[in-house]
Amino acid sequence: MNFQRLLSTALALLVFIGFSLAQESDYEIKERFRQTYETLKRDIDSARTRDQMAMLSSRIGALEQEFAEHSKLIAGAFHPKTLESMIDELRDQYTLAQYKNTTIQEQSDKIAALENQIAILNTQIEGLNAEREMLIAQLKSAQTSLAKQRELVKRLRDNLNAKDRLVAALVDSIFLPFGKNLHQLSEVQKEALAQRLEKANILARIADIAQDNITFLGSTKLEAKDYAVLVNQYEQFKNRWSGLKEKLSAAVAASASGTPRAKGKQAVPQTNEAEQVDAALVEWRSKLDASFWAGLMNEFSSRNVAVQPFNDGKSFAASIRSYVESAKQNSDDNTKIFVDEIWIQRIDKDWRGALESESMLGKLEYASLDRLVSQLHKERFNWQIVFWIANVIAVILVGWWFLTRKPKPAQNQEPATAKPNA
Amino acid sequence: MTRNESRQTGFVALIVSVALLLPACSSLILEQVDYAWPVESVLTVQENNTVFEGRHALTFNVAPLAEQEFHNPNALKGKEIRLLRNSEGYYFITAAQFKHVYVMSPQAGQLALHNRLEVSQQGLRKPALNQRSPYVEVLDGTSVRLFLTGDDILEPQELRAEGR
Repeated sequence: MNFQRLLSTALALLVFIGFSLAQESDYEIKERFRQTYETLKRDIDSARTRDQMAMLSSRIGALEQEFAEHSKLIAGAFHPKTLESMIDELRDQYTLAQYKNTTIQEQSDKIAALENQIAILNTQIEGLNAEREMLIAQLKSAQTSLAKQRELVKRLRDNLNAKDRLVAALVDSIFLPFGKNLHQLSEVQKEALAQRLEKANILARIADIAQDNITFLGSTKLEAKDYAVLVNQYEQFKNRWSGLKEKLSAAVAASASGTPRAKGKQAVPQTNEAEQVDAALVEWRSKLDASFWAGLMNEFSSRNVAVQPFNDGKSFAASIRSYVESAKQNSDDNTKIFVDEIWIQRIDKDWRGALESESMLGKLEYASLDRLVSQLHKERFNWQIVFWIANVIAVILVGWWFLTRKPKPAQNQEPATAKPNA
Repeated sequence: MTRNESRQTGFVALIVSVALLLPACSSLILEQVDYAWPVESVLTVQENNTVFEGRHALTFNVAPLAEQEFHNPNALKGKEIRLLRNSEGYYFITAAQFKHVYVMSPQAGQLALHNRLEVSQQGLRKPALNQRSPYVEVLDGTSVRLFLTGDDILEPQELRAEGR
């Protein structure tokens, strides 16, 4: 009985629904289509996953199928659009959304890979920091041999280089997903970038590198050949920092003008850290210069060659020019030491690499000084060489004469033997 | 020529002139005009008793309709009316609680009543107008389904009988 009642109710409902559907007005059809269409458009815009996209594709097909019989009505109601053109619009939007989502997915994968790389780099940097501490401690203990100290200095320098490279890679990894033009980033993206920089502690790490180099300069006894590497390292760091500073400023500006949460929280500390890096760079350069020019001056003073004191490229060039001019006029005895022992053996051999750096003396200026010193070298011509060469030539000539001379004929003896016959 | 003859001649000339001019004024007629809107417009009555149909840029005051149906010129304020133009160019207007569909003819600066068709004795509950050229179909849920012209009401059975 219950089943029969249920069946009859269901039938009545179906008849009612059927009648209701048959009675649907054109306006209702139009409105139903419009609402479904607009909902679909919104859903396509907000869809992110593959499953959502697949569902949307079938919903577009269903919409087209459902309203195919009303295509004339829809064309009239939405003129100049038609059902076909509106479905095409949806499909175009769907294709764009699919492309966008694929790109987003790929970028998410890349970002995940970069995040992983950032974590690895952070770990490696921490490892290098620990090694650096150990090396500096060993250097300061001064209980090791000179060879061992040289080895320690080399390891420490390699350590600092490696850390520099790792931090550069870390910075690249953070900036890579955001493209080159930071000014075109949305506020949300800028905020995300600022957060990543903060999380990776980038500015502190950069300041740390500069500080490490200052410590390195203060705790090691450097040799002439070391400076070429150190000057190059400083220049590279400075160039990277000037590029990075601009990017960081954009990110810091974004975090300052971004959400209220970000305001004041990141902008001030990051600005301070950037100033710290600038200050550390100034100190690094100052220590490097002081150590370099003092070391170079020592080459002269240790050999009792009096030159005017110098503390930068300009004063060094002036000092050398002054010495050469003076030597030309006075025929100074120290010229030989100056040219042979200092300029040729030390400066040209070991200091040249660093001196030719544009921030020190520069290639042109070095070449100019070298030509000047070579004049001194010519003027100090050694006549002994001529003497010795003449001697050698004389010996050769005597030897040649001796070997090639003809033996005397025995004419004087023959008459003696003939005498008895006479 | 006498004075009377002169008058007669002038009168004939006037008649001839008018006879020649009148057809010239009304001779241009464009035919096969179809005014039918594909779908009815559902318009909300504003505070000043006017409605605005955006697609066809049509606006008019509905206070006289409210007066006719409810004896209250403000009875339609905030409510919806349904408007559809048929192929002949008549505007069909109705609304919930209406007993009639009003057939209005467009005039210079006004819509004049052409016909008032009674479609429900109790008043329509949820009416809708569909374009079924040359008819306008009026629906009210499942209870009413009629086909209207500017002058007449037809039941679906009558249309079937006519073979339409």
